[in-house]
Amino acid sequence: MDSQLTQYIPILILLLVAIGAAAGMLIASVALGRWANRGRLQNRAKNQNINTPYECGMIAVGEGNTRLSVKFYLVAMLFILFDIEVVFMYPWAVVYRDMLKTNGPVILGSMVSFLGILFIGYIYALKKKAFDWKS
Amino acid sequence: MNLMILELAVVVLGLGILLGDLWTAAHQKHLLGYAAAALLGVILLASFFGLEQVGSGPAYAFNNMLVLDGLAVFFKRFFLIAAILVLLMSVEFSNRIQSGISEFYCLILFALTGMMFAASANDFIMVFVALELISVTFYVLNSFQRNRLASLEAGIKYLILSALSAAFLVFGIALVFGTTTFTNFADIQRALVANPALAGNGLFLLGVLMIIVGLGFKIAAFPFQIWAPDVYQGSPTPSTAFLAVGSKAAGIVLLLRVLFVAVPAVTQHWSKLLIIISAITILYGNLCAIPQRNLKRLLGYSSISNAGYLLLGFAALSQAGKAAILYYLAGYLFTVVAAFTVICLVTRDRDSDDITVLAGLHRRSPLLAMALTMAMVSLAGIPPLAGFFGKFLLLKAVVEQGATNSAYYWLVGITVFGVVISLYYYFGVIRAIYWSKDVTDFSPITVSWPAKLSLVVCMAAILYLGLLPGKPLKLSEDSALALTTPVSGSKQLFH
Amino acid sequence: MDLAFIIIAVLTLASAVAAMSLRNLVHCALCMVMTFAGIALTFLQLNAEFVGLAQLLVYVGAVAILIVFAILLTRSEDAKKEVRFVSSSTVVGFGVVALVAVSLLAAIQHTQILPPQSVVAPHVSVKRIGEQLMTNYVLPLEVIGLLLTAAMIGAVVIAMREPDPADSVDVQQRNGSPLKLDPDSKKTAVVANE
Repeated sequence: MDSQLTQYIPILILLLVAIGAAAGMLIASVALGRWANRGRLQNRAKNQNINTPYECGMIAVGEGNTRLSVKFYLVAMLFILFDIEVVFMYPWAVVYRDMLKTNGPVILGSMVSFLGILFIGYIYALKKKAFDWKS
Repeated sequence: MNLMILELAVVVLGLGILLGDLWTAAHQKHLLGYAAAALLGVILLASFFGLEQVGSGPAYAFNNMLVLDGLAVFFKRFFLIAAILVLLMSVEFSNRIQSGISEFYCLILFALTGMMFAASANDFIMVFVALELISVTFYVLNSFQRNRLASLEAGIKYLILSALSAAFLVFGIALVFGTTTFTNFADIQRALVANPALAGNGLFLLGVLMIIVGLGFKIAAFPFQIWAPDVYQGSPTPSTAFLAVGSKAAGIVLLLRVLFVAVPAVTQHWSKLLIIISAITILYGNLCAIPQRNLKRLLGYSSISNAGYLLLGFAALSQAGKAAILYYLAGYLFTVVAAFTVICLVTRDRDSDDITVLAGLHRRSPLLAMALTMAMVSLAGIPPLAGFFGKFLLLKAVVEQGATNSAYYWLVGITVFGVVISLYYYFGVIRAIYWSKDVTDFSPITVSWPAKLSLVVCMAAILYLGLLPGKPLKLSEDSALALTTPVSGSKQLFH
Repeated sequence: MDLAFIIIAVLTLASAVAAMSLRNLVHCALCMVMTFAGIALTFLQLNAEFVGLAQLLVYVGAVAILIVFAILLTRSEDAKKEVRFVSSSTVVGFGVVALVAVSLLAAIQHTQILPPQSVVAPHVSVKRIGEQLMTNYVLPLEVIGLLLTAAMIGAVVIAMREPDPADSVDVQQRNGSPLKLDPDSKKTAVVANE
């Protein structure tokens, strides 16, 4: 394996540890539950409440996936857009110092106009209260 | 930098409209639309004074990424005119758009920028970026009436199919880049001349084919036309008009550049493919249009058949064919915009685009009736209007090539057959205007003066292009000169 | 072909197939994230470090969140329609896939060996990407800025609720906290059906 992938082996190990920890917790909780319930398994219906997730007051109702406000979606969309913008800024930032000496106006002007166009979009979104959660 | 001064002006105008919207009162927003149209008119006028040096020869910028030649200037002016007329139309449409009309104007200007960049694109990277700008703005423009399910459906359909075609385009560009190590059109052409074996390289050809797929989607040519009727029907009428004119013309100019500048050696061998696509597109569009009762859907199928007619000029592989494409597109612009403006005005207060809304139009508004009649007659290709002369030029270019391949005569036959079919449904529209039986609504339609002006301009242009073809034909021939292949190596294959 | 590539490719393809065929939309989304991650790994393996990390940042980071939000925005019962596995579109779909695959394979088979200078891919560092982006590809960058702005306008126009609900026709008025059920979901229902 001569590719660059070898340098990510620590991340792979971290990934395995994370998966192991998550799986371990699940298995441990199931095992602990079995162990705690070992005497009561015969009359399951009567003791069902013991196995429900603990929450203050209310009994959990319905499915886990409730519907969210469309606001979340809007924020996620805007997040993607600015995320992509950052992706383009990264290589720019790497060469910025070198190119400032040789080709100053271009490197400055291009990123300023790139960000300027997006900034106008940002002002627009701000003015349209796209970031306002109260309305 | 001054090669893209027009685009720059349009971008600044678009951003200005976006900002201007924030400080404009709601009842004055239609003024923004008029202002945008007027300023685009100024930019159009400026193009006649600022770009005259182009006549001497093509100019390149940004490391040959952009080219400014006769073809680019022709299409830039074409897109500017289209955008002005569509902006005037969308002002009339504003009462049916709830979610901010200024954004609509602004997005039209952004799409216009993409189209103008496409007109001078000389590099596949630029092609892709310009096409994506056009596509992304049209995703929004098509689903702009977000309270209407049909509009959202049109937006989603366009999004999914357009994304698929963009994937083909990118894959094709990657294959071409992988086999030639270039993305620039001129470099690819030189590579093809230096290494003729490349024209037989499977991967390279597959790449070119996939690029044609991506561009064929934009012009709604045969196997990639599925989206057109649904999207045309569901979208807001001004978006449909801009999609029918601007987006299609952007696809055409890119196809012209790719086929005749980047890979001329391949195109010479692919006349059969172009003939087949053209013939099937013409047949499909015309046959499917016959049973349509929805005006916008009808024009959607009509737009497919028109893509087929335009492909005739490609299939001819001659200078006359390219000039005919430009001439036909110019006539198509005014014809289609006139038709959609009338539809927009007639259906303004109703939710239906059914053909019955036209009943008694000649008594409700003689101007609208006349404009729509002229548009239909021109689309049907009846002399003396623009559509006739455009089709005549295209067919003439195809017949001239008949000596080299008898398939061209078949193509002419199929085209004539398609035109005859089209008479039926275009005259169905005219019949609905003048000879509807149960007309109940005779309330006159008020037409604002900018809309009147744009209709009069369209009608004048349709007549002019049909009656006095001398000057515009010279212009399209000169513009098509940009597509002559300077390298002679590829031409020998043809003889 | 080395082992790492095979593992990554199988993982990517398997999760892509799962993303298409699983019943629960949330599971589909998670499988799609797996696919994105697999593609990112492929890029990393090809020494395209920047593209790989950008893929991670944008797709695994942001697009995945957007997809999960889109699923949570829609009613889950809308998506539980029975779909026949073998329909005419499946057959056509497989036909198209086979056609593309065969033509690709045939093209690859018939390709002559490329000129040697293009075979050795240069090591593409972020720095070289930056240099190219700032010299040859400045204009596409600016156009992309415009594209992102257009997308932002689109997001605000289409996804934001009306500032004044009185002038909307068939979108119901919403009130209350953002976490309540959201009747403003005609369009999201359409998204789910597609």
